Amino acid sequence: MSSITGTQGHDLPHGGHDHHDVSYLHPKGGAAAVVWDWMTTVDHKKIGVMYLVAVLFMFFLGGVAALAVRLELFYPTQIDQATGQVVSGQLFNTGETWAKGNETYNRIFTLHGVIMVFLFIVPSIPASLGNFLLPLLIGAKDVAFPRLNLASWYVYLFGSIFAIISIIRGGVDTGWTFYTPYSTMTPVDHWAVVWMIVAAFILGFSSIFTGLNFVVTVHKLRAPGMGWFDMPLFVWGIYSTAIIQVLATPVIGITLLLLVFERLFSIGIFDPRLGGDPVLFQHFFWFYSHPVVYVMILPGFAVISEVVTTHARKNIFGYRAVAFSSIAIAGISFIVWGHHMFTSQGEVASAIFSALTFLVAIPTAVKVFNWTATLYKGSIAMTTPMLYALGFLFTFSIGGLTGLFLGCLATDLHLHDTYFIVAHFHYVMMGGTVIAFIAGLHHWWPKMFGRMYSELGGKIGFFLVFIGFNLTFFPQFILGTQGMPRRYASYLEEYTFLHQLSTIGSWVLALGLFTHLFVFIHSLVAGKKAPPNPWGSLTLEWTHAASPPIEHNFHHEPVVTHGPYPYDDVLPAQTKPGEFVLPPPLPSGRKAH
Amino acid sequence: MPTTLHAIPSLAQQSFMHRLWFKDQAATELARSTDSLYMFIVWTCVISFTITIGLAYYFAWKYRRRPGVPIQRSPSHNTPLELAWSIIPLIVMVVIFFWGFRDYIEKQAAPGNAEIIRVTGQQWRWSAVYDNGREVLPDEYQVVGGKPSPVIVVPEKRPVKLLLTSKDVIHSFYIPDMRMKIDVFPNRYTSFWFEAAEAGKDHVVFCAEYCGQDHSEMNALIRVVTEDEYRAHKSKELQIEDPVEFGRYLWERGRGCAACHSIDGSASTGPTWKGLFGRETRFTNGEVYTAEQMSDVEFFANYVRESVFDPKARIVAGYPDQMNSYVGLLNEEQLSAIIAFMMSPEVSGRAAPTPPAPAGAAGEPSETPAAAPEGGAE
Repeated sequence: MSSITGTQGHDLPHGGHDHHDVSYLHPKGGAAAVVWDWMTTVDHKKIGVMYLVAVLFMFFLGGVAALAVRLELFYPTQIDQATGQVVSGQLFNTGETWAKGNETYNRIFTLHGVIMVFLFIVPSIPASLGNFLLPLLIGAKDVAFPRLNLASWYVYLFGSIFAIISIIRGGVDTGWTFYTPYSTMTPVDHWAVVWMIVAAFILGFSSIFTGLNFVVTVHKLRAPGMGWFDMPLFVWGIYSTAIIQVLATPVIGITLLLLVFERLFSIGIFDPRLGGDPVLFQHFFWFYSHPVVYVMILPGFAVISEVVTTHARKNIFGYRAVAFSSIAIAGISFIVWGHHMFTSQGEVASAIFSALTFLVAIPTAVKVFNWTATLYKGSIAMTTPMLYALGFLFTFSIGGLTGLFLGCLATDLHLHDTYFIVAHFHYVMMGGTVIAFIAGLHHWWPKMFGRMYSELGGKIGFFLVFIGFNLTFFPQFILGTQGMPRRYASYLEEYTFLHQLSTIGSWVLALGLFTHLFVFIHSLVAGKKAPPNPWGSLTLEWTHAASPPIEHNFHHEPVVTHGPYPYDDVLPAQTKPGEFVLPPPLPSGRKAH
Repeated sequence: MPTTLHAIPSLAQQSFMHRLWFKDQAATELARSTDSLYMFIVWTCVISFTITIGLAYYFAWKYRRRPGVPIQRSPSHNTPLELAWSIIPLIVMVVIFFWGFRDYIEKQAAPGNAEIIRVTGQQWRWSAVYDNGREVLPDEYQVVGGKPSPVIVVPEKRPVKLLLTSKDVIHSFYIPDMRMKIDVFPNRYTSFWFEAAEAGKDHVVFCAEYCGQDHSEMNALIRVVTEDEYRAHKSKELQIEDPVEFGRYLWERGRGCAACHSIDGSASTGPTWKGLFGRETRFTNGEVYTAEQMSDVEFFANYVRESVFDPKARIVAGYPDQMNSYVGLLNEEQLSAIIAFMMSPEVSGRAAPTPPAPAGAAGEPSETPAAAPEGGAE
């Protein structure tokens, strides 16, 4: 059947003669020149790397807050009833009253939520891996609007600065959801609340810029011959994500602006004392924030599709089903926001939203079945990315299945706002997106930085993360079922054991993540030079670009004559990754510049 | 599904899985039904998870890359298979949806004969008033999770409907043993009904919607008692010897006058009580009570009496006509305690006067004694 089509003997670049041929990482002059080059670059790869550094830093900050939260919950607070003093169990207590400790706890869990949602997980895969890979995967030189791309990074930076100002002013205790009327009357520093909301508002624009850029890029810049159904599934996932970002983010922007107006000018929109309605805020908020759940998870699906096909060396099972399910999920995601409000809205609305919510489960389940079927009769290499993909199937399936308890009305009335919810969305967000992000980082690391990493180190990291993650969050399902509400600084003694398991899990998880950090740093410093295609993948970034890619990605614009995963047709049986030999290039193809 | 109230099995009879997840037993028949649904979903998840992930891991092991083993061809598409794994989950979802919907509606709709208890949330405590106007008393608090929390007593085997509202932010009234919660808003009423199965049990109440600093200590207890105990409990009234202190209690919590009337001069829905004893007061109908009249103990007491029992008679100029009559909600003893509190030096700003003796039997509010002035106002 079909085969990879390259260009006249130049499938892979071998060392440059002019500046177009050197790696994008090649320094241009001295330290100052390099910094200036990076700060003003319009190269999607450099912007992707800059995003990667930024979101990983935010992941670290949010992770520290999470560890602090878990540590506080190791023991329940013991109060001396006679004096009202804290006897034990309060990490954040400053010695005065227990109220002080509660307040600190509330600020820290809010910090964790705000950083992880707005600064880490929304931009995580799309802005870092997506930016780096989207043009490479469709055979383009860059995204459609390179300057807008750089602008989005600066807007992100700008938004982060506002968030940090808010944190320096003492932080906020509203929860990342900013529910009214609490967020309009919280006693914490007035401007801290305003800056934090403004930060989330600004970050929304970064998200919109990226989304807009990706939509246009996918529509206009695909390589010659690449039809919609020749696109790798990563592109489908990122494309669906981008559509949601463009359509949903303006709603949260308007909502947050209204919230700031209410706080600053006492305009009654959400606050009942001013004639507003607090439930209106919840509707506005979730109209954005539910679709955004899929902004977080669809890129995760996107990564897993690439990792599974490459490392199992198998065409994806049901390509169109996987591609369309991304679009279906993106579409349905806009009409299920009310399932966050089963305890605060009328019966008819709840029934409709419950039914629609079950609908979204079908395309999600279909994806999992497709990945499983892809493994059938594959040639599966247990590399770190593949381990992560298998880990993803485990954790994400738990996250998805526990959604059934919450979409179902009668059980949700019990489980809403308990630790069951906390466990569920961590299984989806962390067990789904973050696990997929780490899988993707390992998968594309050789391409991005031109270095291999220690497989052993990666695997040790995987097992620590996998065990730590499950130990942290599985007990929380049981806690929630037994009635433990979320956002509690302390708890009844009967919940102690499960909380302690969870806290111990968080340490194992942190150890695993630090192992990965160490492995990556080691790879940058002393890693073996990566071949162009260490995994024997058949997508363009591996077959047609160097590791790391040259500045303009490809020497010659690739021409595509087949779907993204023709493993059955093209490949001889391989026994070792790295020994993969590309099929002989065929003539044709155009010059890139 | 709900059959009889006595069908609730004890903990020992419940399955291992059920005990693992829930630990304690459901407090109502509806909660029991929710547990069945929950366990149905648990098994749905366990089975589908085992099949899917089991297969994936089996494939990952069986088709692991080995030297000399060539790639095998396999189809990348199979319409019947794909239809099957789309339709089967869809059927399961439809079942779960309808089961959940039916139980949800039962949890929402209270029977008409339910005993009403009003519950108010505020940062960071719950308070409750029984249908005869009696509040949960200060000595009826019990420590739950570190902080004294109100004990709300309810009758067994009879529907109870809690009418909930909030004084400040959004709270959520959550009873894990009843597998039910409902959000509590500052601008509307919501309700939570249940039929407790067994007397002699306490059920913890949490606040489940984040509401600030002491959110995690905003607890209460629902105590289920027999019908007789409930009646006796409800009619028990707090007695405080000192009339001024009793009046203060009634103002602050017992009858909640404090919601509209301050004692420190601050503006609120109704006129402040600070200095009201001896203050010139103008009414919307043009009448004026002079400072001298209002300083007269008898005149003042009758004015308060009229304001409490017939608040529409006179409205103080500048205030809305908003107060409802307290006929049946205050007895003579309580009324004179409130008057004593209003005339106390702290509230009136004057030297201590002698409070008037109770004006005989619990009078009809319209029967203002002859010596009364033309009336009072709110």
